[in-house]
Amino acid sequence: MDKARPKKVAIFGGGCAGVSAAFELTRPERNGEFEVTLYQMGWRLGGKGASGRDAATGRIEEHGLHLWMGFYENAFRFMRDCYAELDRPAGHPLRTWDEAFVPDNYVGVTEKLGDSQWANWAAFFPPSAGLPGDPLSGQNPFSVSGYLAHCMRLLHTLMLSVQDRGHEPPNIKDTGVTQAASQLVTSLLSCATKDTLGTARRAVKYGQLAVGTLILEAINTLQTLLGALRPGQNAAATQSLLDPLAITIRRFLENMVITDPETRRIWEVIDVVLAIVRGVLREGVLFSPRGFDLLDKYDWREWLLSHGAAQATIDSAFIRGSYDLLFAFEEGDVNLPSLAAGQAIRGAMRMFFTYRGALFWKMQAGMGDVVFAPAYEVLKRRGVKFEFFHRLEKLGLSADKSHVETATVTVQAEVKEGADYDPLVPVKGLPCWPALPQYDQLKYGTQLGKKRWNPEEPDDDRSVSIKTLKVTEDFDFAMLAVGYGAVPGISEELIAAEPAWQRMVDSVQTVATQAFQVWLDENVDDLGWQHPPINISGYVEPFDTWADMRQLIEKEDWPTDPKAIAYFCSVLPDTQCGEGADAAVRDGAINFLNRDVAHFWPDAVTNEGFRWELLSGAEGTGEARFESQFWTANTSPTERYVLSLPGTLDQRISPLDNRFDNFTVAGDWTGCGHMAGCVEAAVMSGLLAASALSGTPHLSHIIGYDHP
Amino acid sequence: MTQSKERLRRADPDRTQPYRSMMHAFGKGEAGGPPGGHPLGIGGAVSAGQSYADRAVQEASDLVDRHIRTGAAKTEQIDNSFQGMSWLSTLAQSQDLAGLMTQATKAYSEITTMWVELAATIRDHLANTRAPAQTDGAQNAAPAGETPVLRLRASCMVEARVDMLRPGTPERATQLAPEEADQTGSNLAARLEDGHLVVTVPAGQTPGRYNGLLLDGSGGPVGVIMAEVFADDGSAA
Amino acid sequence: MNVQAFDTVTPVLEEYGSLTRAAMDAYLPKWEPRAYLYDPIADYPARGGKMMRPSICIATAAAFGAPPERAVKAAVSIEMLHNALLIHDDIEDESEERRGAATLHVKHGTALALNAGDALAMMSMRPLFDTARSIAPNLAMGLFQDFERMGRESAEGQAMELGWRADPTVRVTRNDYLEMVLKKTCWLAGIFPTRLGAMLGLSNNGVIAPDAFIRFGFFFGAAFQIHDDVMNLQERDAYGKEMCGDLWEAKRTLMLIDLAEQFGDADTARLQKFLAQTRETREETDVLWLLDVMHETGALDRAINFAKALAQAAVAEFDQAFASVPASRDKTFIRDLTTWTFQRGH
Repeated sequence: MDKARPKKVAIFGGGCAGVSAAFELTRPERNGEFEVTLYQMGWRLGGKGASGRDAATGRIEEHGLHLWMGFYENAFRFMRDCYAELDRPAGHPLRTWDEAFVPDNYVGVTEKLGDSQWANWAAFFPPSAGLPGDPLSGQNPFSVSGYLAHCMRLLHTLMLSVQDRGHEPPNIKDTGVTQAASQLVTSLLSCATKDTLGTARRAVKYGQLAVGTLILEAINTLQTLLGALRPGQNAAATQSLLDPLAITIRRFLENMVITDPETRRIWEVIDVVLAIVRGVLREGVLFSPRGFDLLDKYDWREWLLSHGAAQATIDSAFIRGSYDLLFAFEEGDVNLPSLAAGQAIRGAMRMFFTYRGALFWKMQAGMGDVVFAPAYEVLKRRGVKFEFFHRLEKLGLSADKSHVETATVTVQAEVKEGADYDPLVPVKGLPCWPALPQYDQLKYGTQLGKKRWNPEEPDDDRSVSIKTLKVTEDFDFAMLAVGYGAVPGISEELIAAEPAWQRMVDSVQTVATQAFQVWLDENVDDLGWQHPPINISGYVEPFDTWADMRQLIEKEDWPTDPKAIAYFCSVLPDTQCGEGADAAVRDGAINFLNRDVAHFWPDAVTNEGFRWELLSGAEGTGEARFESQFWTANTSPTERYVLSLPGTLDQRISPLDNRFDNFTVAGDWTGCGHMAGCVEAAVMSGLLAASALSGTPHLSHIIGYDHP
Repeated sequence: MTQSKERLRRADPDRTQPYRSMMHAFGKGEAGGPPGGHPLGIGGAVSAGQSYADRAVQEASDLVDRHIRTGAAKTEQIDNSFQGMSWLSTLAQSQDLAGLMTQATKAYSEITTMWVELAATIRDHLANTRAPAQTDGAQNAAPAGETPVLRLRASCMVEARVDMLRPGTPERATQLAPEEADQTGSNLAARLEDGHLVVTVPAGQTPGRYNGLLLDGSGGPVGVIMAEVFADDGSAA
Repeated sequence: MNVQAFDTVTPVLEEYGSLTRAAMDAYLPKWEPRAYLYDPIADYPARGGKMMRPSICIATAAAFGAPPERAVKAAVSIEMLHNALLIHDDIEDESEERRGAATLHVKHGTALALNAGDALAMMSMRPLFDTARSIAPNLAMGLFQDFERMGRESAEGQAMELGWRADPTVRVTRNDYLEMVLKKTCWLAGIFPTRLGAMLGLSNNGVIAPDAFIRFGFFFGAAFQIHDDVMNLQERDAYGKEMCGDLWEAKRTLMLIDLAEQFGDADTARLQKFLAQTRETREETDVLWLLDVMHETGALDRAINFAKALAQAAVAEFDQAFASVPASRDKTFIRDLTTWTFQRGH
C-alpha cells in the first residue's frame, strides 16, 4: 500500500536544471514512481533561458544569446528524447529536434590590432562525426586518444583557416604517426615478453628515426617522473623533452610570425597548447586523482602565464573570447577577468575536442519555443503538475536539521476559477511563451494587464497568498533548482545548519548580464559584413559578443519581415545594477551602435552615427527609434549568471550531497561536474538530482561527469 | 483512523564527486567507454547494419593502410622507410611560410600526442614493474638505466652497442636475432655476467644486423642490443 | 530512385570517353595480320563501355590544372590495358559474354584471344611512352613505376581470386576479399588513373605523395566492386544459368563470405559441396537456395550498406586527396562519380 504510493517531488524552479530533472523522474519507464510538481515564478519556464514572443510582431525576446555547443551531449539527449516523445505531426513548424537545432560551423573572434584597429577572425570548424546526443558506441570522443586526435585536427583547422582566410578547410584525419608511435610503444612494452626478438627488431628500426629518439627520451623522462611520483618534484627532468622542443619551435616560429599577423594568431593557439601541456605535467595533473580540479585555484590567464605562455598570447582574442563566452568578469568589471584554470581547460577540451556534428548549434526559434515549450508539453502529458506564479521564499528545516520540512511559497497570482494556467500561445503554428503573462486567464487580469504587471521583476511584491508546503503532505522530496542568485535568501536555515552551505555562499558569486536585439531593414551583408553568418566574441565593451540571428526571421510574425536580426550581449557591471540599470543598458546599446558597430557593419554608420532608419518596426527619428527595439538588464537574483571563479568551484554543493536527506539541488551553480554557467551544466545537474532521488541515471551515463 | 504517511529518505549516494583522474580516463579506452544509450532504455539505439558498416569500414581502412606500408617497401620507389614520417624530410625543404607553419605545428602536436599516449601505456606497464621507492638522492641520478659494459667474442669484424630504453637493472639478455625475418643467419648468444654483457659471434656467422633485448627481473625490456656482423672483407651484408 | 538535379558525371564521361576513343584509334594498328590479331584487339574497345578509368585520369589531371590533352594518351594507355586484362579475365573466368556479345575466346578460340590480350597489354605501353616524352624525366620514371606496380597488384589480386577457386576449401574472410579487390580492381579502376592524372598535373608540378590517392582509390574501387557484385545477383531479366552468374561461378563475393560465416554445420556442408563442383555440375536449386538465404539473413542488405559506407569513406578521402586543388567541373566529376554508381544502378 504505502510502498505503492508515488513519491511526491517538489521541484522549485523551471529552468534547464529543474525541467530536465522532471523529465528524468517522469520517464514512462519508471511507471509513475514519482509524482512531480514544478513550482515556477511568473508565467513561463526557462529561467535564464526563458524567452517571450511580443504580441504585435511575434518577435522573439531573449535574456541574452544562447548558443548550444556541439559537446552538450546530455542537453541534446534530453532534447532529442523530448522531441521524439512529443512526436509532432507532419507540417509542424518545428517537428523534430534537428529542425529545431541547426549546426553552425563558423566561430569568430575580434582581435585588436592597434589602438583603434580591430580585425575579425572567422574560423571554420569542420563538421565532426556523429551528432550530439548520439549514443557513444565505437567512436567515443571522450577517450584521451580521442581528445588528442581532435587536438591535431584543431591545430590543422586553425592553420588552414588562416591560410585560406576562412574558407572551408578539408577534413583532416589523424595521420599514421600517432598510431605508429603508440603501436611502437605497445609492442615495446606490452608485448615484449611474448615476442622479444621481434620487439628488438622494431625498436631498432624505429630507433633509427629522429622521432624514435624522441620517443626514447620521452620514455626516459616519463620513467623519471613515474619513479618519483611526488608532484612538484623533479620538474626539471620532466621538462627535458618538452622544454628544448618548445624553445626550438618557439624560436623557429617567432622569427617568422612577427611579419605576419595572421600566422601570429596560430602561434598564439600553439603557445596556449604548449603552456597547457607543460603546466599539466609540472603540476602533476596527469597523475592526480583530482584531474584538472587541481588547477581550479588559479586564474586561467595567470596560470598560462606562469607556464610560459607569452603575454601577447594571454592578451589575445583567443583567450579574451573564452572569458567573454563565460561572462568571466568579477563584479561584471571587465578589468577583473577571473576564470578557474581547471574548468577553463576542461571546458575548452570538451568544446573543441568532443563536439559532434558542429561546434555550435543554433536554435531556430526562441529558446523558450525550442526547448521549454516542447518540454512543457511532454511533461504536461506525463502528468507533471505545473504551479505557475509560485515563487519560493524559504526552505524550512526540521528541528533536528536532518531534512527539509517546509517550503514557503508566495502565490503571485491566481488563475480564474481554479483552472490550470495554459501558458503557451501559437505563433505561426508554433507553441510559444508570450513575453508577458496571459492576463485574461488570471483573476483581476484586466487590471494586471493594464499596468503590464511583470511577476519576474525583482521588486514585484504582489502576493495573493502564502502557501506553506509540508513534507509528507505536499512533498516527499524537494529539489531546489532556482538560479543561484536566489539561493542564499531561500536557504538561510540550511546555511545556518551546515558549514558546507555557508562555505558555498561565501565563495560562489554571480554577475549580471545585459543584452540587446535589433531588427534591421537591410541585411548585414549589404551593410558591409563580409563573412558568413557568425557568432563572434572578443570585441569592445559594453557589448563584446555579437550573433547573427537571421534564421529567426521566418519564425517571427512581422507585418513586413525585417532583413536582419542581431543579438549583442555582455556582462553588466555591478556598479550599473541599481535603479537605472535598464536605462544604462539602453544608453550603452545606443552608444555601441553609434560608435562601435561600424566595425562589423561599416555601411550602417555615417559621420553622424548609426543610421537609425535601418531599425525595423520603429517610429520617430534618430535615437528615439531604438525605443522600439529590445534590450534587457538581467539584474534580478535568478537572472544573474554564475561565475567560475578560481578557488570557489570545490565549494559548490553537489546534487548528490545527502546532508538533508529528502532534498537535492540542481542548477549550473551546483557541483555538477562541469562548473561553468551553461545549458549543459544545468542539464547535468538535473540528471544528477534525478539520480540522487532515484538511483538512475547511473553516473557513468551522465556524459562528461567523470571527466578529468 | 488516519494513517500517518512515512517520511521518505534519500538513499546515500555511492559518491558525491566525479572521478577526475586522468588515469581513469585512460583506462576507459575506446572499447570500454561510457555505455551507449540511456539507462532507462530510451534513445540511442543504433541499427545493426550501421555499426556493422562502421566497423567494416574501419577494418577496410586499416587494410589499405597496411597495403600502403608494405607496398611502399616492396616497390622501393620510396626512400623513406616509414610513410607517416615523411614530413620530417619535407620540413627541411619546404620553402613557403604557411607550409612551414603547418609542418611545425604538426610536428609539435604529433610529438605531444605521443607523449601523452606514452604516459598511459607506460603507466599500465610499470604498474607491476615499478622499482622500490627511490631515495631522495636518486632523483639526481641520470634518467637512463645502468648500461652494462659490452664484451664481444668474435673472430670477425663486429660493431655492437646497447641503448637503454628506461632506468632499470638488466637481469638477462635475449639472443640476438637477425634484423630481417628472412635473413638466414642463426641467432647470436648473449648473456649477462657480473654486469658485463657478453655477445658471442661464432666464426662464419652470416653478415648482417642482429638485435636483442635486455630484460629486467619482471621480463620487461629495459634496453636494446644491436650488433652488426661484417663479412671477412669488411663489407656489410 | 534518386533523381539528380544536375548530372555532373555523364557529360564528363561522354566528353573524355570520346576524347580517349579518338586518341586510342591511332594506337590500334590497321595493318596485317588483321583477322587474327588487330581486329580482335580492336573488338572490345569498339564495344563501348563507360570509359570510367580514362575519364578519371583526364579529370584528375584537369583538376590539377592540366589541359585534357596532356593526359589523354595516359588515359588511352589505361583503357588499352583494361581491355587487355578483360580478355585474359574472360578466359580465366570462362565467361561467355562481354558487353552484350560473345567473349573474344569464344569467338576466336583461346589461343588467339590470349595472344591478342598479350599484344594489347604490351601495346598499352606505347601511349605511356609518348606521354613520358612530354614530361620531365623524373616524373616519367614515376609513371612507369606506377604502371609496373599497378600491373603487379592486378595480377596478384587476380591470382588470389583464382586461387580461391582452385581451392574451394580455403576459408576467405571479408578482409581477404577486400585485399583481393584492392589489388585486382582498385589499382586499375581508381588508384592508378588518379595518380597518373595527378602526375601529369600542372598546379602541383606533377609531384604527388608516395601514398597519394591509394586510400581514395581503394574505397572508391571497393564500393564500386561490391555494388557490381550485388547488381549481378539482382538481374531480374535473365533466367537459368544467365541469372546470377557470380553464384553459378561460386565467386567469393562479400555476400557469400558473409553467409559462410553464419552457416551452421549442415549448411556449411552443402556450401562446401557446391563450391567443390564445377560450374556445369552445379544445380539451380543450390543457386536459388544461396540467393534466398542471402536475402533472408540480410547478407545482401549488409553488403549494400557496406558499399554505401565505403562510398562515403571514398568521398571523405576524396576531400582530403583533392584538398589542394580549387573547385572545378573535373573535381566535382570525380567526387560525384563515387556515388554515381548507386544513384543510377549502373
